[in-house]
Order: sequence, then C-alpha cells, then structure tokens
Amino acid sequence: MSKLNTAVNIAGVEFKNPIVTASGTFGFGREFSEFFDLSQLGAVSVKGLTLKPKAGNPPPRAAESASGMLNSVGLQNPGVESFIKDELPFLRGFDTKIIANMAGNTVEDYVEMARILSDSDVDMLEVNISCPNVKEGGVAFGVDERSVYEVTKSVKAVAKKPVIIKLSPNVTDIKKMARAAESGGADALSLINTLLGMRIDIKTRRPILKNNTGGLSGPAVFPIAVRMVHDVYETVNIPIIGMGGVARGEDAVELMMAGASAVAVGSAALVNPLAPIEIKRGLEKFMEENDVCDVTALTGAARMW
Amino acid sequence: MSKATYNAEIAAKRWHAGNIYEIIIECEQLAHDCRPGQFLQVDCGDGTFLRRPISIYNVDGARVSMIFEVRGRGTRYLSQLKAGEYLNVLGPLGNGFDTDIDGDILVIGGGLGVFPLYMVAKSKGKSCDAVLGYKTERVLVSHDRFADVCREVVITTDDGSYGVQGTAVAAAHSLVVNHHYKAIFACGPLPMLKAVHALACKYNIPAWVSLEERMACGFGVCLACAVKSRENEEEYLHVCKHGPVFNSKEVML
Repeated sequence: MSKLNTAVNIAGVEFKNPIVTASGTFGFGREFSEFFDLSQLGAVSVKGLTLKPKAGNPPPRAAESASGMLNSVGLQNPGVESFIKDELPFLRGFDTKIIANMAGNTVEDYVEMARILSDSDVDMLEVNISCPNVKEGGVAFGVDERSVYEVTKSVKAVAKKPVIIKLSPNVTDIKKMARAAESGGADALSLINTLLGMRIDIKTRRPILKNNTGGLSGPAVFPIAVRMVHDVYETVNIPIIGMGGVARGEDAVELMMAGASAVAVGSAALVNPLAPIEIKRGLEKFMEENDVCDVTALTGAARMW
Repeated sequence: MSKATYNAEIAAKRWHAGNIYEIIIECEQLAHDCRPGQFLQVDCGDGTFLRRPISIYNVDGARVSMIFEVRGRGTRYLSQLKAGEYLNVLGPLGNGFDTDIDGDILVIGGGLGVFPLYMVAKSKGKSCDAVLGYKTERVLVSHDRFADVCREVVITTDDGSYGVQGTAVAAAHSLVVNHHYKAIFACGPLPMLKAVHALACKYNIPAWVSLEERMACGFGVCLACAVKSRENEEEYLHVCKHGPVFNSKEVML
C-alpha cells in the first residue's frame, strides 16, 4: 500500500496528523517532552490562559469516577504574558502546531488576549467559553447563543490567527451554540469540554471536590462526544476538533467518522503519558488495515440509519 | 533519573498486618532510578481510571517494593495480585528526600508514613535515628527493618500496646533535645506533620515533610494535587512535581 496521508487542514493550518493534545491535560509540553518527541503530534493545545496569572481553586481538585474523573483545577496558569515569554519558546522548538487556549471573565478579556497572542508565535487561538470550574466566566459565555456570537465576533475582529471556539456540552442544544459561533466568524470548533458533575464522600457527607462540582472527562463521556460532534458536523461548515474520552486509536477513528477533522486526547494522557502517540499509531494501523489512504476521508464517514 | 512506564513482573506479594500489604516488582531500570521519598503511579486494573500514587518502600538489587494499605477499589486490586503477574507502573516520580546532608538526621514516621522513610534510614545508616508511630501493636510493620539500619529507633503506639504510649512527635521531642540533628525528615498524617513543623521551628532544625493530596497524573500536568505555598498565599505548589517532599516552611500545612 502506498504511503498514508495523515495530514489534515484546520482553517488553513496544516497539522501533520490529526492528533492534538487537549488543553488542560498537557501543561505547556515540558512534562510530556520527557516521554516522547512532541514533534510527533499534529498540534498541541496549551493549558488555558488568562490575562493575569491565576492561582486556581483550593484542593481537592480531582476525584475519580467510573471510567473517568472530575476536575476542578480552576484554570491555574501563569498568565498570557508569562506563557509567551517563558513557555512558548520551548514549545516552538518542536515541529508541531501550537494552539493557545484562552479563558476570560469578560468579552474585553478575550479581545485583549486575542490581540496579545496574535502578535506571538502561536498558530491558532482557541477560545475557551466552556470551563465549568470558574465562577466568574468561562462557561457563562458558552451556554448562551448571543454571548457565543458576541465573544466570537469580538475576538475575530482583532485576531490575526485562525480562531477555534471551544464549546460546552452543558447546554440543551449544542447545535445552536455551534451555529452562533459560525455566524460570529469562527474558523473552527472544538468540542466537547467537560461535563459538570459532582461526587460526595459518603463518610464525611461532603463533596470530594472543594469546589463542590467539577468537570467530568475520560471514557465515560466518549459517547456524548461522538453524538455532539455528529450533531455539530451536520449543522456547520467549519472544521471540528473532536475530543472527549478518546483513549484508543479506534476512538479517534470513531470521532472522525462522527465528523471531526482532528481529535484531541485529554484525560487518557494523564493516565498514560504515551497515549497521544499510541492513539496516533492506532489510527494509522486502522488506515492500513482498512485501505484508508487519506485520513481526511474518515471525517463524517459514518452513515446514519 | 528519567521517568517512564514499565510493565513489571511481580516478584512477590506479602500480607503484613491488618489491611497492609507489600508488593515487590522486578524492574532493573526503575530500581536504578528510584531515590528515597519518590513514588510510583500504579495501574490498578480495569475497575479504576486513574493510577494510584504509592510511595517506594525499598529498592533491593533490581527489585522495587511498595507497602500500602487497602483503602478502596484500586488498592484492593493490588492486594489481590500474585507473583508472576504484571503490574504497570509510571515512575519514579516527584522529588525525594535529600540524603546528602552531612551529620545526624531524625526520621519521624506515622502510620503508613513510616514506609517512605525506610530508604532514607537505610542510606543514612548509623547517622539516622527514627521515631515510628503506630496505632497499635497489631499493625507494627517494618519497625525491625529500621532497627537493623538505624542508630536508635523509638516505637510509639497510640494505645501503649507496644513501645512508648503517645504520638511519634511527642517521643521525638526528647531525642531532639539531646542530639544535634542537621535535619528532620517526616511522613505521616497532616496533624503529625504540623507538629513536626512546630517542633522543627522551636529547635531551629530544618524539616522536610512528605505530603499527600488527591492526584490525577502524578507528573505535573493536570495541576490537581495543589498545596498552598507559605511564602505566597496566592500560589499553589503541586505535590507530584514540587514535592512530595517539601521543606516544612515552604507549604501551608
């Protein structure tokens, strides 16, 4: 069989393969670089950035659940300026695309960050309007069509890089949010962020997480991701970076068949740091065994009954 | 010292007392890389999603051992494994105890916190004294191994069923008064570590404490295992990356 084409094009940016690391599970790449060469990845999405440094939520910040976990980290990060100065040069040393994930409390925050990051060496901007763990904002923008539209339009007005809008699954109809982002000018979408959940310690009768609630991720959410990616794929004409519980190469194939053009790996890499690479190999193996020469042929390949 | 995942063969699994078990794996590279006070992230089978962080008890040749208590699904799975089966571990992780300090040191362990101190005691030998606190005589584990390597070992039990009745830190007090320790290394429940910090401050001895916090990845990316910095209350440090061993003045206990 001839050479596989694994490259995908997301809003004009070419990823050498569809495998991306999901924001919040990858830090800024330093820790993972001890396990594998980051140049093997299609793209990386860095830890969610805020305008000013953010301490995050008090611990405990993690709780296990069946086939997954809850987290309430609360966007702990060194701030956008420190990212550009201290972290970006290291990441730029690898041959991979860099997606800057940003979260704000106000539309002005997003606009300001988009302005700052547009002048930096990142390849794309990912607008996080779906973090469930910060009280002030994040998800507040992602659950209302008008604010999705407003944030998208405002960011697009200043951004000099392609803009990805990261959607929340904690909505009644994700198609409406996807449409709002597309009409606001989004170049691509990423979904799903975590689902809001809670665990209670039955001995202490208190939630395990100090924040009470947290975002559920891991294989438990995978079928929801597949359904939502499919719904959004049928609704919009911009590319989708699919994520949510992807743990094996076959999961990446499935999410692409549902409509994703690229696939991000999150929680699986917290358990097995080599997961992104193993998933990439699994995807290639599927292509070889099933005579898929071009990975882009998988996107939306599922036929509904 | 590089971290990696290993599929290691189980050389032995032992029951010690109560719910306390030891698991010994054969893994030459890992054994070579492990330092006192570091930990492993252990895959606990299909019934769990996250790995479980377990401290390293001992390294002997190519063998690495961990002593743990059955507390939930993951540790129950571990307790049921048998020699000859395989265990997937990620490590070694975290920063251990700095055993290069010249002069005498004191280790203070409480409950399961005794076990991460054994390699410290072994490497310091006769320049190390130990105070080991247990609930009761029935759960006395590994105290004889400390006695083999340390200069002086004091055992305390909460109920007085063995050794000195009372807490480990109370017993440590008289040792501290009568010796010139260059450092205290401690591991155990939070109230004990607070008392160690107070003792260390009172006698102006640097103390290093090994902390626990709910953890997901274990290698510094998820930022779950946060502990507040004492220097800057707006800042969180992370047990897996900056610890698990901290100077007691570095963190809010």
